[in-house]
Amino acid sequence: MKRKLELKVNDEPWEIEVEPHKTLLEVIREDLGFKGAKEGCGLGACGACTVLIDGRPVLSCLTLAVEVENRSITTIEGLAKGSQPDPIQLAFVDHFAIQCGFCTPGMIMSAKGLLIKNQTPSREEIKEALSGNLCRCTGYKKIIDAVESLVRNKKTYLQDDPQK
Amino acid sequence: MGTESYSVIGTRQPLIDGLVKASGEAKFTEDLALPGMLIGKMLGSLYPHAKILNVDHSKALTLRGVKAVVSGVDISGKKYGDFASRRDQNGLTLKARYIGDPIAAVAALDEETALEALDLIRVDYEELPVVFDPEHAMEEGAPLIHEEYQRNIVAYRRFDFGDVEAAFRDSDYVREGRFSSQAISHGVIEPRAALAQYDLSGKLTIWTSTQSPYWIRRDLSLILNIPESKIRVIKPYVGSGFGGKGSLYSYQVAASLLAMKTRKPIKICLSREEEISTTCLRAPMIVYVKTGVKKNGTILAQYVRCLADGGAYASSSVLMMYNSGLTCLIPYRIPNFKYDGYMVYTNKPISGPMRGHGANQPRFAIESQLDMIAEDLNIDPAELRLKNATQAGDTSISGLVFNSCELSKAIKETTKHAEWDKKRGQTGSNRGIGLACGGFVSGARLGGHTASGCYVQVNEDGGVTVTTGSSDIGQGSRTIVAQVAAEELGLSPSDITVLSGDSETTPIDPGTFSSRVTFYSGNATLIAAREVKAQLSQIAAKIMKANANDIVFQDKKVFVRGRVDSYISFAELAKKTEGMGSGRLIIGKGQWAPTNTQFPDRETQYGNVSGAYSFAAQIAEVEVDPETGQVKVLKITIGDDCGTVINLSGAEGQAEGSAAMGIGHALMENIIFGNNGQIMNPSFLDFRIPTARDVNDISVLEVGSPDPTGPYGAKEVGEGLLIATVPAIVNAIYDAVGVRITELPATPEKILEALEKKKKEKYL
Amino acid sequence: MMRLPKMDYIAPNTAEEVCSLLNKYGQEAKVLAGGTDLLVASKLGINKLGLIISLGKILDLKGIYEENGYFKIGAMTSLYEVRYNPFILNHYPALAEAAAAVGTMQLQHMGTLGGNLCLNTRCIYYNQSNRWRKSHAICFKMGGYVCHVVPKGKKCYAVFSGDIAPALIALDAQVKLIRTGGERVVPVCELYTGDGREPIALQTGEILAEIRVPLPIGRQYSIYLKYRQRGAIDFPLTGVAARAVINSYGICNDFKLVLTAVDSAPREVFEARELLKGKTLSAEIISQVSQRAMEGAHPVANTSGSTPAYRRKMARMLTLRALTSIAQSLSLVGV
Repeated sequence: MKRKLELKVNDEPWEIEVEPHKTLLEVIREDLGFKGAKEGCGLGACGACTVLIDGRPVLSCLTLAVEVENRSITTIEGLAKGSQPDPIQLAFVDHFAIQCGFCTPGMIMSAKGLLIKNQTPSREEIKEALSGNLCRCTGYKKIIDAVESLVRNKKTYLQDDPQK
Repeated sequence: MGTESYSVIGTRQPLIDGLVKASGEAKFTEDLALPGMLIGKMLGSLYPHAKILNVDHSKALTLRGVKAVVSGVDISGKKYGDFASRRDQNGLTLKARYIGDPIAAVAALDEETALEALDLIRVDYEELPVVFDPEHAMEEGAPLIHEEYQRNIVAYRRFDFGDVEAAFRDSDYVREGRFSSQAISHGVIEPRAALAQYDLSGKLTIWTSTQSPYWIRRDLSLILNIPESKIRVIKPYVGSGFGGKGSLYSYQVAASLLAMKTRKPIKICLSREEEISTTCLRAPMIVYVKTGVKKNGTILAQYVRCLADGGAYASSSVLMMYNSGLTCLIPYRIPNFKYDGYMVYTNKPISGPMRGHGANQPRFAIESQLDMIAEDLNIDPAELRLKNATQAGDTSISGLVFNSCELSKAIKETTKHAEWDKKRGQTGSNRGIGLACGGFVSGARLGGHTASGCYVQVNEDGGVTVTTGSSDIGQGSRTIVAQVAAEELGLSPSDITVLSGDSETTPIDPGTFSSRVTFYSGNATLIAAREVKAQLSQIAAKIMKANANDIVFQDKKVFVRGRVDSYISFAELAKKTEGMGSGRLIIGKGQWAPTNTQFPDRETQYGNVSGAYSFAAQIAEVEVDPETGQVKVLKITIGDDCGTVINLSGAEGQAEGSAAMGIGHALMENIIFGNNGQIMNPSFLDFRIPTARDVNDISVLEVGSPDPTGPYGAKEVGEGLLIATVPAIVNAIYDAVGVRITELPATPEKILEALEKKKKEKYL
Repeated sequence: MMRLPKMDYIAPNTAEEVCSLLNKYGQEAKVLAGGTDLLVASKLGINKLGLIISLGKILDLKGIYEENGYFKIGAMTSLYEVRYNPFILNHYPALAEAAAAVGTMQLQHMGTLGGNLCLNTRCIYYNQSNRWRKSHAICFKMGGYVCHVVPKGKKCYAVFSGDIAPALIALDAQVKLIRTGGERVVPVCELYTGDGREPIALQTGEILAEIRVPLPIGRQYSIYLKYRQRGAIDFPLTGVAARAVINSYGICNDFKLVLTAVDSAPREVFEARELLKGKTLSAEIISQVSQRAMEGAHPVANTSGSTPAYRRKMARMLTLRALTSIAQSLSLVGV
């Protein structure tokens, strides 16, 4: 039985009708058209579906949509302000923290969730915060460099560049 | 060779599609939809080996919302496969050869209905005897998995160069050993998906997660019995492939068939379980190596024998087994070399190409053995490598021509950077350091390997469109070709639009595999861009009343050499050109394949299969907990010779990614097969790829020098690197605690058991 | 996409409503806490649920406070909150460490204390999709008559794989269970049946409402150590929680050692308590206790990766390291 649901996604109100067994991932992708969050495994082990709920990173594939009515949901699409990318997004691009891009939305949301709670995480804390997001392409180094650069406000990869 | 100074080549160039990916707007196949689309689901065999007597889908069709069911009887075309000589796949099989082997597929209005329908399909199986072990599969009387292949041997490759027997006799020291490498999954984060559409004119269009639109097109044409020109394959953004997404898979055949049957768009997305258990794996391999050396460590002879477990279908069998032998001859000078490589069918999931494509397993064995030899002869393992390292100008005993090679430099620089001398042999510290080398082809040409093509078109506003057949699957090939075009035309990569991966509109290209993309597509783009440059130079020369040879393109300006102040902008030049005469089209065309290769001789296999070879030295520093056997990889130092580096961040990204992949292969990844050949851990929870916390320090040193054949001197980067990681780690474990692991993965269980055994032996 | 089967959903406002719904629907209904275990099982087709009863709106199940000599934590408190709670970090480090050891940051934000206590047992033949399991006879845990792991096994050997339970048991914690018309408070260890098939001893209509940890008396040290293959995501392959109350002379007045992932329930090593009580934490005693831990561990080969023999060795090793760590803390304070 479908029921009415009011969701607040990326600061916008949405009113939809969903069946209660629909996950938040299904709803944001299929009902709301936000394709950024991905299903990499569907069972909670890869993090590709990570979104923020009230600023906390959660796995949307294991969250029922009906459970998050009236909470503030942020997806990757909600980070940019108009046409101005979020500094995290720019840092990822500048540091080459992206290769195939499939894990990227989830990875960025986890990073965002970390920085909301802790503006000056150590490298180890960044690693821990991102260890629930699998990446097969990058080896994680440039991803952590990208997040770290937001902490230190410098381009780490240039500083540690063995080419210099 | 002097170092050229480039504007764009060699810089840290962010991906031109980086922001699209970072915004979540990049569309992967599962993100796509078409009006009226149906959802498809696959049905796999419950048995590892069985005849499919009948597929009764009558009940499934009565379920509301189910629109069609297809199975092996609906296949009208010819079998397909990676190579013409080994076409053994039927798409939807009439004989199941592994648990999960796709038998049928359903299309329904929604996914739940499709899943429900699967349970209503009744399959009548006639179970057949099974064989899971490749050694048993080769025995006389073993059940035949494909009738045409005697003793289940799907591929056998041999090399015999020089006289190994005599050379072994002449050796001062000979060492032999047996090693094994396990099955692993590519672990691509994007599960495979296909969206197929078939229209009334008989045109099939398929969007799919692939590394090679043209291979998909070729094989779909075969199996569906429709001409290639009636098939359009489009590659959206792809969430990596690592070699596994080049082949045609059943789900793509099923999506196409269902689209043809229903005349509605069909989308099929594989679950993670299907990803791991019904797409190809890295071949488990047993490797036997025997190496003979002089007492100063110079290699005189080597014999390598590989037995690869091919699983149920051939996939890239013949090329993989060729690679396993061929790549043994890249890093070191081996004057006498013999190789026997077998791939054998078993009733398990398919073994197919995965980053390194057969090179990784023998490399692990050889690099481990070289370290053993070094220890026995009391030679530093790095010295041993240096003594035997391939040099620029060498030709291997098998005919591989190494026009450029900086392996010695890689070894020297990595050992220096990683403090090799200081960190080696620290008894009692439980820390160790290990070295290994590797090398790979930049696209192998074994016969009829098509070239890569490219068009470069200048638009009226001064923007440039590069149309390339190459497939970007995340390795950044779009950005590479943009850099090449930008370099030639004095622009920035953000001025370049790259169109790629559409078999209908982009020039034919074999695809992303064998590390050929930068090498082939880079050169094709170079030629096309230079053609455009020549055309524009003619126009500019006219406008500026100068010689076309004196026109310079730089910083988005066009000017006569020495007179930069009287320039016109590139955009202005483009506009002027379009308006001249009858409105000229400025298009350059480029097509390239190396001319310095030589297809291997059918009998002897002698030949230069690649235009250039990459080299790498890797050093791993580990800490082993002697009470638990657990290993922490503290640091990996990579010396990368990929010739000229086109994108420094890109090359590093490849190196760092390969370090993580190597950590997984060496220590924690393992596809576990049950007693019935079924994969026991088809999930990301139980098939364990490294997380951010499992990877520590990585340093990348670029040591290459320009190669004469590669674009700007560039060679491949990414595969040669991974090949060296696993043995570097295993060698480091030995240096740390004296435990030699010869069967991968090097789990804590194995290390602890070996340590306990050592302790016991000490007291005996 | 992995989809959940169709089921109904209700989010009551009070615990009483939850209990009466559970009474009404029995096996067909389950409560939803963080969802990280339940929804995975539902997607795999392991559960066949008619109704999901959300605990999300019940305020009584949240909240952290001290009362009557106990530190009380609502069952719906997230693992993340538990991990960073200053009182817990200070007085119950084993609990904070256990919460920090669970899965990933996302799973810690979503997962709850009560939910982790009620984790279902696991087995490589059980935690698979419907389709996967069709290639095998139905096992005990799925309602059949065979165990695929233990040849000729007569019962289910599915392994309890929670991180929180051993820590709370070691800390002598209790749980308040609410049902229609009443409640009971039992030690955490009584939450577990020891049966791999039906591991959680909640009665029909009962929910876990609150966890109560006795306020520490005297010098209490606690620690939780977990072995897993990777640095994140994985369930424990072996886990050890230890709590010692040491007086100012270094004598152990009370001690508890609890293992996880080695049996179908968290396993207290009772002999360890006897060995240590009244003694100091000498290297010899630590070694003996660790040996007992290994002997008290009976894992079977139902995990993906690792072997029972190794996990038993790790039970010993982790115990050794846990106790050595406590001993070191003691020496730091001059005991």
